[in-house]
Amino acid sequence: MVIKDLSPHNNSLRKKYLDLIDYGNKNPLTVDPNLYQLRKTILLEGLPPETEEEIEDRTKQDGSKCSLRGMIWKILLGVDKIQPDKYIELIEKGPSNRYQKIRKDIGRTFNRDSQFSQAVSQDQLSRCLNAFAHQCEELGYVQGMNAICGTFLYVLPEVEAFQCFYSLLTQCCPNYFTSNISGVNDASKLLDRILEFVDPELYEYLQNRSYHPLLFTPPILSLGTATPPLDELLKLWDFFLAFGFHLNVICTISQILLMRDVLLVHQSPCLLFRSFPELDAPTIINLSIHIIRQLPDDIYDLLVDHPMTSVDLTPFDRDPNNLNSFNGSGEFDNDNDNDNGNQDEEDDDDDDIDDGHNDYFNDNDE
Amino acid sequence: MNNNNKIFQFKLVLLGEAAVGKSSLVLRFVRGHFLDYQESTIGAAFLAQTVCLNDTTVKFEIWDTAGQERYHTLAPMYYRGAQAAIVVYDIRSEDSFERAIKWVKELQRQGSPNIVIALAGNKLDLAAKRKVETAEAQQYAEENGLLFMETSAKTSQNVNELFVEIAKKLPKTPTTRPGSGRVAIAPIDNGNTGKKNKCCN
Repeated sequence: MVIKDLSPHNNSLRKKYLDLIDYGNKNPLTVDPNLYQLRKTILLEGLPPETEEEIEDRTKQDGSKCSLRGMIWKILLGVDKIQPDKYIELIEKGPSNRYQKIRKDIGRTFNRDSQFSQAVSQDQLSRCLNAFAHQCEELGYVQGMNAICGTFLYVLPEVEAFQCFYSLLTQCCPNYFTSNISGVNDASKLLDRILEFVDPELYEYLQNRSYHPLLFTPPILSLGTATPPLDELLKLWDFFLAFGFHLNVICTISQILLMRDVLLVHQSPCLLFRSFPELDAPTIINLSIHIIRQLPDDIYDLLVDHPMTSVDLTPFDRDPNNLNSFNGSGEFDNDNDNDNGNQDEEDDDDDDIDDGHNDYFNDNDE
Repeated sequence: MNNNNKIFQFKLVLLGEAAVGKSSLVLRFVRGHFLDYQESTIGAAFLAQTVCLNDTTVKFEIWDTAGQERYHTLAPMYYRGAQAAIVVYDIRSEDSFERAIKWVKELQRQGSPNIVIALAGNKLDLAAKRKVETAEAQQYAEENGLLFMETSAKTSQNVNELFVEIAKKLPKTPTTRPGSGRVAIAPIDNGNTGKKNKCCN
């Protein structure tokens, strides 16, 4: 578990990141290429495993939490100045009008993860969410924010975690948390469309068995935090923070595809989506990159934009009357003979690989 | 032919304020267990369970929704086409009861026609801290044609009973309801050898 003798590779990878960060600090004028190098390294090599000191430090609630991952996350979220005064000011405002709702969710945040409860106190989580509800009244508090905030508190000291949390919600995926959570609807539609595109056979099978795109709101809205284990989630977030949280939609599809064999022989496959199998970040990321390469540009562009701006998905709207699961007429296990039915429409996928959006990902082959 | 053992399938949706115990009720019913700190539901979860009545089996496809207001915009998508709904409140919270009444009104206005609605006052194990009187809720339920039960997901009191009562009340005839899309109720003949015999006769 604890990595005692860091392999030379991990040591040199750690040094590579530290050098990149150092270079970035000294060369602020070339911030874009600096970030490019950082992102590329995350994609190609991932972050090195945590050191023994980092792990030990994290398990203390008053630890300094100056981990490499924490540093990188702050850079990727543009959190450069730490502003404890501002945070204290927000805390001094006392309970916000969302405080009662926040309290209801505090005790049930990652409550099955003992490492989390060692590292993050309920008070920290409560303060951080309450401060956010003060600072950003239009977003306030939505269930699911607790786990997102908790993830930052797991990796970073409280003030920095707060600033990263604020930056993520307001800059990276505000549309998931607005009053009509329009981004989540968009994400569900995109997920639906992309799943049909990448795996028409599986899609057809699910369609006939109580499928509805809203089945996947939990992994989308929670930004992946709904599926354990936390340590694998952090690796997914390295990837999301480097390239965008729209990738959570693709990674959710990857998780569905990884369940494919089980789903295709299950009589009520949609029941399995209530909780996904434990995360295996490297496999999910690899499969996601593979999916992205297949996607047509127009869908990929909409996907990239949807967490931040409203996108026009009317071409993907389906007639609500055709959502066969939703008028309850879905078939039944033993009454169902046409499992391997018709999927003729979408079979022209493969030829059409376009690389416009793949700049980062193409490096992977070199 | 033997008409026994028909299977009927219904869509059921759970609605109610956050943390009143919607997921706990469903998990008690479906899995028979209870967690003191059930994680909050994000969006919704999908589960299924069957109830056996005398001569029929009722399969519930259950959509357990998130309670928080922000998720309200998703709710119509979940209750669209539902034949049954359980609206849950916490007997220790007047607010949650008020919210339940709003859900009932919304279902009556926008839900499927003839939807069977059950009102469940949950957390009966904490009756010492009760704020909503049984008689008050009972009266409201009667006036509005709702099934009513007080339940405890923790002790399992009245949980199965609630689903059984709903199952009993659901119409078990394969009729089409105009205006509500396709028929929800698809009786399935389990004695499937019968058909073949019939044509041989």
